Amino acid sequence: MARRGRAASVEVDDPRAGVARVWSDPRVRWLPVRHHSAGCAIHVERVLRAERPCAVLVEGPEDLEPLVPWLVHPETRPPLVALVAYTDSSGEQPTRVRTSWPVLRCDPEWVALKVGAELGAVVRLIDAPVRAIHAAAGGVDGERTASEARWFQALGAKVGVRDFDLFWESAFEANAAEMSSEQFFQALLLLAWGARYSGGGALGESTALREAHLRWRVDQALSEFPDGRIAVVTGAFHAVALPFLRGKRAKARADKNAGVLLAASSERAVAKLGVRYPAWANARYQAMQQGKRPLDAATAMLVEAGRAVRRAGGAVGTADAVGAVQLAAGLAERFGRPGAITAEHLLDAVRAAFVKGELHEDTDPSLVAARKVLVGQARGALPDEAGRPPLIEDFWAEVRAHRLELGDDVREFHCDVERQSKQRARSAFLHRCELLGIPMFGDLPGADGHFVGPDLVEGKELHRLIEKWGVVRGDDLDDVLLELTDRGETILEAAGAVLAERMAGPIDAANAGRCLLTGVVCWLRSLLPSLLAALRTALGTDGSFVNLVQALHDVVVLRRYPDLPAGELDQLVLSAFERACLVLPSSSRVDDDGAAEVVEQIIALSRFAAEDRTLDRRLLSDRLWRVARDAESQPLVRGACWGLLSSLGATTPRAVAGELANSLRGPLAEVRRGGAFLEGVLRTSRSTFLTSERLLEAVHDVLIRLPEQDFLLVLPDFRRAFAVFVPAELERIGEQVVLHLAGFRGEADQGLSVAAAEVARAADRSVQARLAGRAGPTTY
Amino acid sequence: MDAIRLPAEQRCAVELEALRQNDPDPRPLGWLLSARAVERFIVGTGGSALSATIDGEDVQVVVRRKVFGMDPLIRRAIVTLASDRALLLIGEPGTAKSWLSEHLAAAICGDSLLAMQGSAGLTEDQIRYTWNYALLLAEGPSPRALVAAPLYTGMKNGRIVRFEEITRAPHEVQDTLLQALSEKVMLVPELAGADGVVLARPGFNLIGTANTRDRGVNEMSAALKRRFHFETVPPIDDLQQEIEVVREQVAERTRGSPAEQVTLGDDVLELLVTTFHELRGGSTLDGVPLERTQAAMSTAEAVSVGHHAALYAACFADGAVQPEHVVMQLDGTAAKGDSDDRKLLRDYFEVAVKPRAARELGAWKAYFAARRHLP
Repeated sequence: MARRGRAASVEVDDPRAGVARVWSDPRVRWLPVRHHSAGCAIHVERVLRAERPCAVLVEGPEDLEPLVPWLVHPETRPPLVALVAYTDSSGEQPTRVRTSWPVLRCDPEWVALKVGAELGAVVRLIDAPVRAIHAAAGGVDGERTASEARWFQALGAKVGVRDFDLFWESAFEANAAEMSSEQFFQALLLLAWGARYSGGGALGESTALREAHLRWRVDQALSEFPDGRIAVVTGAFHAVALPFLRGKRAKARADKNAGVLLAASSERAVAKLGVRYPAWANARYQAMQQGKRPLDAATAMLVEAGRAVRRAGGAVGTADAVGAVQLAAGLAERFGRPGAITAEHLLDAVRAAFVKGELHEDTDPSLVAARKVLVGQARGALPDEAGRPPLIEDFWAEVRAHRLELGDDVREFHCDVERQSKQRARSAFLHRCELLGIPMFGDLPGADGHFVGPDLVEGKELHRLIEKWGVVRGDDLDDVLLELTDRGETILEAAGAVLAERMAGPIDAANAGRCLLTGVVCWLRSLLPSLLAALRTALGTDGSFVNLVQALHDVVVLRRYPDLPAGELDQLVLSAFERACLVLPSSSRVDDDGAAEVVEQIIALSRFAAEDRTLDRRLLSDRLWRVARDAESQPLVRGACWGLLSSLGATTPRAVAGELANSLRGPLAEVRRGGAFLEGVLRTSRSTFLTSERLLEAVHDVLIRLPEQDFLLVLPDFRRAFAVFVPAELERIGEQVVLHLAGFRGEADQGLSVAAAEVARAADRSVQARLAGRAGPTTY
Repeated sequence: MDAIRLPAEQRCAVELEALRQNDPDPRPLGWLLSARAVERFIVGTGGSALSATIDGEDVQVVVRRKVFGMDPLIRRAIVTLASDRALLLIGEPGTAKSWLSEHLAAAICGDSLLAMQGSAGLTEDQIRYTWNYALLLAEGPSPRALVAAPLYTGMKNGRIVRFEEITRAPHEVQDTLLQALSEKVMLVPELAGADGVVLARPGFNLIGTANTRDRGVNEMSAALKRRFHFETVPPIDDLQQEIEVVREQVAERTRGSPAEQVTLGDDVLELLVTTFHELRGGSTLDGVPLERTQAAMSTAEAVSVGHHAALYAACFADGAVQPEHVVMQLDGTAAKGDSDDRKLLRDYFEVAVKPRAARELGAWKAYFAARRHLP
């Protein structure tokens, strides 16, 4: 039964008739293409040169239309990247949306624009505005996607190839140069017809919107050029529908912050945008242009890959390259079609012919080198008048101003931040670049990374005064700068935008503190008031003890910076301390996994209280007591509080030992919690334990009263508890225990007496005897 | 035929004939099947049947998959064998290198028996040719007195020659292959005229195998390496695929034996294969790290354990393989009696099996209880 498509008058069950209708349209030459297809590019050029249409309309967002003069400029050389950006305010927080289009030499769309302009035709980009497309994006219809996939699969099975890419290579690319343009495009229309009309499922909302807009732009052009023929270059999927659709303009809301940009790029950068092997695509296009076979392009690529492997130290000879070419050609011939060589065939050839040992797919030097060759390193160019994006200009101006030299080798630069304002500015610039992820840093000799100095953000090496940076020109520097161009016109603005993005929405105290620190080291002055305000808010709302202590740490660190308002920082310190104390009891019932972190922050909080006399120590002591007396508190945390209170002199070692004894009573699970309690005690009263006999004796008395079975059960926990001590400290504790067992009193650092040594040997003999199963009464 | 194991071309004769009758593609010179048909022989027809006439009867033949998880490798290997390069399959022991080599040879030239086994005792005349000394003494050097070895036969008849464990052969013996692989010629200086020159006929090529565990491929000379295309055969990465392989292989090995009727349940098979999979990968399926054993915990070893467990169940139990039967075979078959590996096996039971036993998953509880059989 004949079905009807969405078009008013097309019989979808008769593909050949449909294709004939599309191809014989008297007013419009519909040119279906596949993106980045060299074969399509060749035939688009042939048709345009033969038919010389008065207008060439190309699928591409109309936002980019102001860039068309630069795209078709005689000095322009792809790879290029076109960028559209706007602010989306539809959600809770405004977000910046960026969409990029890579442009390669072999792109049929670019060839259409270029040749159209050369022929004096009007050239236009006619796709819907990006903003309108994004607003309509309702997801792709699953049934349609599945039916298209089924159709391609069935097609592949019919002609004996496994995937669509291989089918495409066999059917279109391999023989593109020999086919007539009519044959080529009609075959492509037939393929698209099958994919589009063979299955069920509705089009996605954005596809429908785009097609209606494309058609509307075509209608506009037809009215504008009533006597001429126009050419329309679109994806083949659209080309079989557009002739039968009704046009409707897609409107986008105006955005004064919207912007477009065209920049010279590199093959490596466009590979990151989804074109897997740009150099291979370009090489094939070039071969076709010169009337060469795909195998010639493949040979050149494999020879170049072999040279790259040799440069990297591998032993690949000409004979191996010959073997690789034979294999690539053989794979195409035996499992596809002669000449239908894909990038995967080339990599397969490298796997088989270059790798002389065990293959490690991700790290093998031959494969890594070959992939790099297929991706390529060529850089595009734009005429000088097109200018460079302001951010890139600013970056290089800053580099010059700070006398940084970005070469191939790592160079060391110093910044005496506290004494020299120029070097402070240089430090701020380097911190901004680091924040933006600009690849311009290399490891310093003898250091762990590219930076040595006071790391305020991580709270490390704060005793240092001078920053040392390892600076180098990273491989992707230009590409990363290009990606950042929409973030602002200067590095300062871009860094501010990135930090502001991190601060968008609700933020906890720890992150607010971290952002403030970052803002200070990057010296983002205009942002500091809002960063301070955000931290103030977070301190008032964040109920996490750990976050609050981390924020306190960050604010304390910031006191080093004289430029910040000292009074405000003091206020923040007080606020963070009080809030941390207040939430401490509620944080003490944490689960076992989170207990260690809470204990760490309790120790940090106590240290702040000890170092800063303005902080309310009584408040801290009161909160520690609350946790210590709360039987429901996590035992590690509770033990830590008891240990701290003992260290502060708020309780006695005997009381701590009593609490330990209590915690070791009851069922097995409770006894084991006693181990965690002891660990908490030892973590916070380590020095007390080492210098005062009383706590040690108290703990010892508790332990020797434990029934042997219980002792064995908690032994692993006790071992972990004592792991807080270093070996020398454990030895000292051992000496004290021996002295205690022998009834000696006095400090152990007087040395192990002869008597104590005898006691130790007796104890050792007893242990050995018990282990050998000759357990008898233990006497010393 | 009364034999413990038939060569692949006899075992799979029906499949090969069906493929031959359904092979429209061009065949490389000297091959019995096209490249696509050879590929289908190795990767199977995915359950669909080929119509063929075998011994005068019309039959439907489903070609079974022979190897798993290496389809792109298969294509490269086939194309390599159609080129002037030889093929070297390398990988861990038990990853089906020899199995693949045998089946490729069977499909390409219908003869997988032109095979040499690399060892320290392998000599040049076991590769090239030797003499019938009685005839040699009686008649002097003559084609009649020459006793052909696999390389000679393969070159003369245009066949695939197999060289198993090539890196275990002495260096100078390996290099015997150089002239044959590069110039496709073998000189027999003892014979005069045309008899003294063996020119390789189309269809001749060589498949070597080498395992990466005991002696590395570095033992090969650079000159010889250049004559090969290397392919690394990976272990089966997919647990379910590995279970299927072990199920099928155990069934094949027990066919015609007392263990043929033995039940090897899914639950027992799962724990057997999971054990090998986890020990080989160095972590449990849940990501808990494990120490790897010295022994290669390959699929082939899993098949061996399954086979022996089935035999044990047939001979000394009630005809169903139990978890304890698997445990009994682990020490000798998998750990090869190595004391360190025994310890790692015992650790494996504590780290990986015990938690599953505690959750009473499938047969894991019985498996854990059976650890007492580990020495």
